[in-house]
Formats: sequence, C-alpha cells, structure tokens
Amino acid sequence: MKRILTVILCSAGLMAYAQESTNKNPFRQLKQELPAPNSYRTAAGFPGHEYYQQKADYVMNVEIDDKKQILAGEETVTYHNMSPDALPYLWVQLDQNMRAKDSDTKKIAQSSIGESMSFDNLKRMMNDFDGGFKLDFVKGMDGQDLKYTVNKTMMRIDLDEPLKSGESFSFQIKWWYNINDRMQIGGRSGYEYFEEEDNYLYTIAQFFPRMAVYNDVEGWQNKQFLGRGEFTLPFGDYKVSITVPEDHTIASTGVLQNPKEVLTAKQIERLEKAKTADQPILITTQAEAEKIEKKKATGKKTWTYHAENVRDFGFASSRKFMWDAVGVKFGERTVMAMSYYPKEGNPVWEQYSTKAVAHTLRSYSDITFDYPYPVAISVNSKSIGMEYPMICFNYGRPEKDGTYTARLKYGVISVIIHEVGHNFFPMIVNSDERQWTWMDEGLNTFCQYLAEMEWDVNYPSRRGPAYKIVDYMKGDKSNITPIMTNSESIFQFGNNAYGKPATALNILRETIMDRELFDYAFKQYAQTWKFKHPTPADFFRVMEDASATDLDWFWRGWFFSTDHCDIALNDVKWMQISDKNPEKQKPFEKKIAESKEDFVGDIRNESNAKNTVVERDPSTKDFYNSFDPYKVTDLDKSEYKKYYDKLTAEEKKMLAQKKNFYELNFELIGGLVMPVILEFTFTDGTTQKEYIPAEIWKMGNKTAKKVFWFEKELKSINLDPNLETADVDRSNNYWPAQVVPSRFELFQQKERESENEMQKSKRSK
Amino acid sequence: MSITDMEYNEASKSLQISMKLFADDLEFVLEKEQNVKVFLGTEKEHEKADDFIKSYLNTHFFIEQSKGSLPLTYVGKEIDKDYTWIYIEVKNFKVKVETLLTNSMLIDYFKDQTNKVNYKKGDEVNSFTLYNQNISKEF
Repeated sequence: MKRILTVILCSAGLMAYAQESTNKNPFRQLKQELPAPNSYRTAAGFPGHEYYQQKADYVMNVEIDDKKQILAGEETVTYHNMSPDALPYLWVQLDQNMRAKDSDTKKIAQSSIGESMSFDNLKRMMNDFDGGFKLDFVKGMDGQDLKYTVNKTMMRIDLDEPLKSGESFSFQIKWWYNINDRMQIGGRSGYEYFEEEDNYLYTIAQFFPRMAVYNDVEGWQNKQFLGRGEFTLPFGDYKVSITVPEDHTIASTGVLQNPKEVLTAKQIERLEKAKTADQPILITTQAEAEKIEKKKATGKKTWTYHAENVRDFGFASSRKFMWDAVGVKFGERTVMAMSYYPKEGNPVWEQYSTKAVAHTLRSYSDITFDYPYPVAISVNSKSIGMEYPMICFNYGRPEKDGTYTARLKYGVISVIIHEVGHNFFPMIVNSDERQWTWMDEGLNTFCQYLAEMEWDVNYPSRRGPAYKIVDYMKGDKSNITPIMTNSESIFQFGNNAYGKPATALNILRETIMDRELFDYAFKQYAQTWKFKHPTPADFFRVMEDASATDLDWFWRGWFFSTDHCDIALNDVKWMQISDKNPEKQKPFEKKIAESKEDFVGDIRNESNAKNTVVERDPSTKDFYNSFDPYKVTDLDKSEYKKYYDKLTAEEKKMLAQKKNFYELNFELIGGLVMPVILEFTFTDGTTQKEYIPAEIWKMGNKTAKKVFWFEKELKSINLDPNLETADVDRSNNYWPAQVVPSRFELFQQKERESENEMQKSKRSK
Repeated sequence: MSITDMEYNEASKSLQISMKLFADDLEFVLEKEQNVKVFLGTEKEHEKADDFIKSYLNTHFFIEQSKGSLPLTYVGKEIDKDYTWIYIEVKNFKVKVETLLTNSMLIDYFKDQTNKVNYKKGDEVNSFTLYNQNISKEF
C-alpha cells in the first residue's frame, strides 16, 4: 500500500515539472491544437485537391393523422458515395428515437427535487410519452428486406457488397411515430394544441430517417443524438409529397409543385402579385383563416414540394394559418420571403415577420453570398426558435387584447433574423452542429448583430458588443467551458456558443483586424465553404490566410480558454527634456518639489517653527541655512553656456522642442491578451486616441511600459474608453485613478434624484 | 444565468446587492407563482409587481449569519432592455462573521439556471456559481 502511494506522489511531481517547462506563451502557434493540413483540407483553410462530400437524395410520401397526431411516411433514399473509400455499411439517423421510452436522453437527464418544483418541470420529468420511430420495413429496391441494426438514435444498414467509390445505392424505409406535444414535453418539432377551437398547429422536422454524414474528419458522423448537439447531414435533392386534412395550409422547404391542386385561384393570383410588390401581400387573410379554423373538413389534400441541394427538410401544417409574402430580388432571381402564422401571432407578425425575413436575406447576402434558395419562410410557433433549410419556426404571441411589450417586438424580429440567418450557417455553410454548436450559432449570432444594427441604429441587441459578455467572463469559472467544447458538454449554452463567439468576431472586426480586412476574410470563408462541410480549423485558417493577420493568440485566448481580459494602467510618470538651462531647470525642479505631498508631521511642526533651536539661537545657523538650491547663480549660467556651445545643431534643435513625456506602466492581470487602447485628454480639453496591438504582450510578459510624448500637458488617461476589449475591471483603467460607482449606488442616486420612467408614465395617466 | 453583485458599504454598514436576471424569465416565474399577468416594466405593470418580487425573493434568496436570516430591504428594481435588476440592502451586515448565502432564484422553473455571485470585500472579489444541485454557499 505504501509503495503505491510513493509511486503516485513521484508521478504527480514529474507532471508538475513537465508543465512548468513547456511553452506557455500566449502567442505560441496552434500547431498542436489543430489537425495537420492534408490533401482534403489545406493549411490555408480551403478544401484540398482531394476534398469530397457525399450526396443523399430522397423521394418521400408522408401523411399527418390529425385525429391521432401520428406522422407516417415511406421514403426512397439514394446514397451517392463520392468518397475514395468503399463502405461496407451505411449509417442512418433516427433522431425521433430521442423520444423513445427508453432513450438515453431521458436516462442521462439529471433530476433533483428542490424545495419546490413547478408542475411543468414535474410533468416533463415524469412523462412516459413514446415518440420513437416505428420501422415497418427497410428494403432494397428489389423489395428484399435489408439487414439493419438500430443502436438508439442510429441505424446501421449492412450491405451485401461494400458500396464502391463513385457508386450509388438506393433503399426504402417505411416508418411512423407519435407526434409530441411541444407544450407538455418540449421539443424542436411537434404540435401545439389550441383548446378553444380544438385545432392543432404542427411544426414537423427531423421527422424521417436521414443519412448521416461520412467525411474525411469523422468517418461516419454517428455520434448519438442526445438532444442538444443538433444536426449535420449531406446535401441532396428532395421530392416530398405531404398529405394533410384538405383545409390545412402547408409551409415547407422547397418549391410547391402543384399549386393549382391545393391553392385557390385567388391565392395563386395574390402570390404572383407578391413577387413584385414592395410590401408583403396577404395570400390568406386573417378573416379567411379564422373562417377556415372554425370548421373541420373531412377530405385530404396532398402538397408536393421539390428542393434542390438542401441538407434537410422541414414543414408546418395547420388550418389556422394566415400567409403573407413578398419578393426579394437577387439580380434576375426573385426569392419569396414568406410568413405563416395563426391569428394568435397578430398584430406583430403581420407587421414584422416577412419584413424581417426579407431584411435578413439582404443583410446576410451582403456579408456572405447571395441567398441561393427560392424561398425563405418564417412560421409562428409558440416558445421556440428553430431552423431548417428555407423554413424556420419562431416564437412571438402578443397579449389577447392585441398589445405587446417592446421586448416582445424586438424578441420577434431578433428570433426571425436569427433563424432565417441559419440558412447561411449551417444550412448552406454546412458545419457539424453535433460537434460544434458555436460554428453555426456563434457565426450566425454575429451576423444577426450586424443585421439588427442595420434594422435600427438603436436596436436593443442582446449579444455582440464586447461589454455585454463581461458578466459571463469575469469571476468564477467553475461553470464555464471554452468555446471549443463539444455541443453536449457546454455549460450556459447561450453565453458559450452564441454570445461569446459572436462577441469575439465583433472584436476582430472592430478592434483587432478592422472592418475591411475582416469582411474580406469572413466573406472568403462563407463563399469557400458554401454547400460544403467546414471544420473549426478551416474557419480559423481562412480568417488568417485571407487577411495576413496572425490570430492564433486570439483563437487560443477566446476559443480555447476561459480566460478573461483585465488590463490595468498602474502608474504614469511625467517627464520633460532637460536642456540643463538653469533659468528654466531650477524653477521646474522647484515646482515639482513643491507639488509633492507634505508629510503630516511636517505640517504640524510648521506651527512650532519659532521655538526651534536655530530660531532661538541664531549662532547655530551657517551657509546651508540660507542656501536656496533653486536660485540661479552666475556659475550655473556660465557652465550652461559652455555645455550648450558644444552641442551640434541637431542636438540644439531637439532641445528646443518643448515636449511632455509620459511613461505608462501596464499590467496584464487577466489571462487574455488584448490590445491596449488609450484615450489621452489634455489640459486644454482636447483628446487623442492611441492603439497598441496585442503583440505588446508577445514575450509572455505580464507588465509593459510605453512612453508617449505630446506638446500639450495631460489631464487624464482612459484605458479602453469605448469598451472594446471586454475588460472585466474598469476601476484600474484610469489615470488619475477614478472611483467607478457600483450599479447599486447609481440606482440609489437615481431614486433620490428623480422618479423613474415608469413612475413618470403612471403619473401622466 | 443571473449575476448577483454584493458589496459591503463601510459608510452605511450594509451589504448592497444588485441582482441581474433575464426579464422574460423573471416575469414568467412571477406569473406562474401569482397566476396573473405582471407586465414588468410596462405601463400596464401590475400594481403589486414589487410585492410579487419581494415575496419570491423571500423564498429564494437568504443571507444567514449566526444561524439566523438577516432581514432584506428591497430597495427597488429597474428594467434595462432584456434584464431586470433587483436592488437589495442588508443592514447591520457583519463583514467578519461567517455568512451562508442561498440563491435559488428561477431554478425551480429553469433547471439549467445558474446564479453567479460576486462578493466584493475591499479589493478582493469572491466569485462562485450556484445551481440546481448546489444552491447555497458559505463564505
């Protein structure tokens, strides 16, 4: 027993030693963290000359049973093996199995009983809903059963012969499942029940067995679906027929193939008008929708859609939908921006939804690439925001009396911008969401921030500006993880995968790189990886390669660590060049000596001056008692003349300049290296900004000194005056030091000074 | 995530607390608890909104010293875009006495809720995070 203990101690000691001697410089390159470049993915972050990707095409018939809330379907999948490898088996995703009775999602969900627990939470914890896939058959095109094995949310299809490089394989699956009640047990897809008129609103997604991605990075992307890490799928073409009650309206990925069979002549006419309208046109009005939702038709209708080069397919169906649309021009092409919503979404949805969709398409296209799909749809869906190709489900329900808060209005616009924006990341720039949430959420939240700023300069954006991430980054780090953490293991999803990466990109754009360099590199990344599968390393590399900016330190600090930024301005020394002219030098020295603070004892002893020995007995005085060190003597003057005459003309010119020199002492208190941004305010009230790149910390130094010189005299210095660096402690950013009042003190002050906005508004009634 | 900044004020011998919560989340919880619409920060704000917050605070936020809860003084609230700030003062707070803080705000409705607390004493900041399985901390 004892010997084991010794061994453990020894190895622990060695580890500590090994750590101390490794390179800890924050500017060391990311060679160990990023995978080696190869012929599939280059060191510049581009697809290599052997880059490949798989393709999966689908032909599907699905039907909603509105009485039993069951979705049933039959699909033919054609899988094209574009990889250089022969594949002995295929993996298919069965994401609905996350809702199976015995799913891992339920097993690993931590539960505890606190002092109080809400009924909603209790219901969710105790739910025994069975929403898993029921597979009727898995067959080859010859009608013979295929051998398959279901491993939770994944299904392996075993092939008789390996599928060779360049070959295709088709198979058929018939399936059904119980649709979940989103309001009771949650979920991205499912139904919402409206008790008043006994109606359902279905938002249907990840609803069919879908091909997993196979690529050079993961092999088969068969990481189980636990609920958080979303999806990645190969691109492909879809032909889908959806059968629903005949009075339902469908919103779907793709282009409707049989409008004459499912729409009225009036609707078709309105749609045509909407293409060139400058305001959204109602295809189904509120009055029409309210009439339809009151009755229940008995027949069925089938809506057929085609979608090309998409990585997934989603749709919504209800007899409650109003519908509006407007065309958005991209060159000669017209994209239809459309919204579907029940009356419960109005008046906000009719006013804003489709306009937000159209604005998103234009804004995102500016910074990435022209939106390539023919439609973009926003569907009103209580409590969630969730994206699929060409279609997304967004929250936003005003009060029953039609009023709503500013928070709801901006919430609706923001969620629509965000979810429509997901068309770009990850629907088209197809990153792997199950591995990396930030690659789509972070990039998308960044673009969302830009789009919000274009909606209104005073838009109340939640995420983007550096100072908004400070609360998350400062203080206790036990419940935060680096951005580069797998989707299932992230604490504080919103801050980690949305807020922090969006802020980091915004800092790159505004502060580290500048807008022109950043925008070129970001666009390069988006265009290069559009309709392809990028990884984090590809993003990091393109951003550097297209801008000639070494950003390894930035990725390391912001993406691979939980460090925060705290830079302090500790000390400022003021100097002037001494030309040794005693007539100027001595008064200056006197001024400095007099400006020094007096020791308390000296001040008190002053009053006792008359009683000192030298005053009472003048014979104790000599030369030194009357000597004035600041008096200019003839000797001083002649010595100065001798010194000055020996100087060269150039040296004399330098001396003639009246400059003020300031030595600033900085300390890097936080672990994150960032630029040092300074605002100097002079005694005449003018200001000047200086920017020192983050490389001032490149030696791994924790302190840095820098001298600045000005004609004018300084009154004060402010470090990071425009809140660009997410510095967590502003109290050490000022010279002379300033007390930063706490939020509490500010509130107390305000309370004392005046009534708040709400009191004012109440009084005015 | 909520943030609670606590700082001892030497002059007033009190602990000053600013708590920042997502406005929507707080409103959701208050409405569930009271079964009425609250309309926080709007013209239609329920006249008892402050009482609702006080009563929720009284069952989810405690500061104990010498085995007794210290009385909290509710100073007020402020709605700033997406966030609601709640201000609380604890009079007669003794800096040197061992203190137990319990903060389970919103955790009963949002099981992933985390409540970060930054306690500033002079230049020192003691920062910790409370969550579902760990709602109290001694300092």
